[in-house]
Amino acid sequence: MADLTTKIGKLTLKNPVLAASGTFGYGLEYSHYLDLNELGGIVVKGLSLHPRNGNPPPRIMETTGGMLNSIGLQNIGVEAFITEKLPDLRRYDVAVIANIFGNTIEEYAQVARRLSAVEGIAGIEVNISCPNIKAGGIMFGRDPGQAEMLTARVRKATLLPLLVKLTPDAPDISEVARRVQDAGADAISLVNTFVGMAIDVETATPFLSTITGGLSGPAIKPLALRLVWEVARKVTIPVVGMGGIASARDALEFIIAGAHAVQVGTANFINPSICIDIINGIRDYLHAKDIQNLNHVVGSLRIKGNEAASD
Amino acid sequence: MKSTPVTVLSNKRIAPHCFRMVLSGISEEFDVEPGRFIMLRVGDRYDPLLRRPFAAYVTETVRGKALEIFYAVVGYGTGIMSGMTPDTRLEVLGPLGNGFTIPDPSRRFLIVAGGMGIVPLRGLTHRLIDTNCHNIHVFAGAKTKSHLLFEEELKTREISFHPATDDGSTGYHGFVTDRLDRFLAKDLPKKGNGTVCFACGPSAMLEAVAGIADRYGIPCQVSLESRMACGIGVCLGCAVKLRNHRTPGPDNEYYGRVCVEGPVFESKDLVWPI
Ligand SMILES: Cc1cc2nc3c(=O)[nH]c(=O)nc-3n(C[C@H](O)[C@H](O)[C@H](O)COP(=O)(O)OP(=O)(O)OC[C@H]3O[C@@H](n4cnc5c(N)ncnc54)[C@H](O)[C@@H]3O)c2cc1C
Ligand SMILES: Cc1cc2nc3c(=O)[nH]c(=O)nc-3n(C[C@H](O)[C@H](O)[C@H](O)COP(=O)(O)O)c2cc1C
Ligand code: FES
Repeated sequence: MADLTTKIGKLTLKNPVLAASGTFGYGLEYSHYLDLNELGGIVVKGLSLHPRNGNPPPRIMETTGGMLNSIGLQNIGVEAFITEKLPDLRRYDVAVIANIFGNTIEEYAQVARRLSAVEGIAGIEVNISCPNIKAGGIMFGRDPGQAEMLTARVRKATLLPLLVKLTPDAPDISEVARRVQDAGADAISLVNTFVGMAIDVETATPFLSTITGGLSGPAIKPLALRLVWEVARKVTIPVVGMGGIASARDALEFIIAGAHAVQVGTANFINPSICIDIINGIRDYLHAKDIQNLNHVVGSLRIKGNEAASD
Repeated sequence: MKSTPVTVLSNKRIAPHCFRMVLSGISEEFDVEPGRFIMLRVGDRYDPLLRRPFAAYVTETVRGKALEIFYAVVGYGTGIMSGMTPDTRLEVLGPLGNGFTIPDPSRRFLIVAGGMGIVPLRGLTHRLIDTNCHNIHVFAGAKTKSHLLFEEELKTREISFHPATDDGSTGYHGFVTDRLDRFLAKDLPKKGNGTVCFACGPSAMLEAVAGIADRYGIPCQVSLESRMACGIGVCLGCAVKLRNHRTPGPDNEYYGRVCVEGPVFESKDLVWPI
């Protein structure tokens, strides 16, 4: 059977399919729908130093092939996560990656330090890309200098594998990725949602309470894929790709474009066991193509005219 | 629990705005407490993308147990559903959420419905009758007589049926909540004694019902609607503001999830207006 394991820094994943932050709760919610042990990993809902209430409703709106959200990073806070959720999560043989955010660089570092002191966290994903909060978040992700500073500070706070999650709305995402790499990140996750909006023409009001929100789902896949391909060529650390993945073929596109692993977000809402279908689909693909190791597919994009160079 | 593949058995218009769809394929164990719901996947690709929530009811057909839903055609997804023919294959997630809590049968039950809100409440009245509740009043508001659902079915020995229509084509001419208020006003000496209230409908109507129930000291359960993406508590898209009674003060409000903590809430736990 083909080898599906993949490495993110010193973290080895069983397979390249992770559940994306904010679409999989704290993991346990899905234990009724699939065997969590089979996942490559779970990225839990974004955690902050203190609990957050999130934005007022309405928070979501469906658009063609996608959805807008402005949850506002509602979460129970890092302490409650450690005492109430982690003990149950630890009973599963699955890599748990904690997604974190803060209002200030210092808050990011504090959350990372707190998580490093407990058993059962396989890695930290730093969200510098949330479009739905006023302070922090995307502010750090748009500016390469800020992103570098923040990554360096969190790097000092933890020895855990460090993924930094980028926003597609940065003016120069490759530059952000390079600087984050230089600051000591072990991997780059991309993309977070694209900022978008929708208007109710009957009332001439925005559908979301926050006017704009983050667009996710199949609608963003081609845009996300292009960014993953761009960034994967410019950095040497692994890239974890996401954005609209809803099938094994979608996941393989990202892997061929250069991603070492992928995350599945919005598609979990449509089919709660889709991650398993995607893992099985990737395995079937490798089998059908007689490829022994997933790593042979990573970045295997063949471009006419360049083939001699890449072979 | 996995997503269950189901097949459309029938799909017929039963009122100008409303269809009844019966879905086969559920297991013998499948049971839906009144007030709980299912998430229905309308297509098999990404259009529409998200599942749609509907109050669910288990019914008996010649082909065994089946799922019955009643839906108003209000937009894209329900528009597609209205054109579905028998044998169409769909997927159902659920039953989900928390339904109505039924107190002891000796109580007097006031059931207040606005528009499609009658759907989960009709399931509730069946359950009430099955559990020997005899003193049931149904207040049902609708646009016109022809929009009033389940009228015949709800006129039983156990139920006093009080319709209200916007155009006066049947029953009280005006808001169902005004009808309720008048009923209770005549009833003042009893001061809510032993009465409980259950409501479902548009949020302005629910707010009015909650206000009336509060005035008469009647405990009130309301079933809410909200836009949903996941239906299982992970996306936090269906937030509604709740009050935490244990920690008084300005910080006692927080967002709960209609899909997990609800859709049925005690009206006193909600921060109105919702
Ligand atoms: C727990 C629950 C139970 C429900 N039970 C029933 C039922 O038994 N029968 C029934 O007809 N409807 C029910 N609804 C409402 C139903 O889910 C929506 O009407 C439906 O999702 C609209 O889909 P659409 O694609 O046609 O509308 P869209 O094209 O998505 O939107 C059209 C209109 O519908 C409104 N809408 C969209 N989604 C929702 C939603 N989740 N809740 C309320 N309004 C919405 C929008 O604001 C808009 O005005 C229930 C909703 C919830 C949350
Ligand atoms: C409802 C919702 C909540 C999200 N919450 C978070 C979050 O807390 N932290 C984060 O880094 N990303 C969050 N995301 C972004 C996703 O992890 C993912 O990057 C994005 O949705 C694109 O992938 P998709 O198209 O597969 O959903 C959220 C997305 C959605 C739809
Ligand atoms: S619909 Fe996702 S949390 Fe309620």
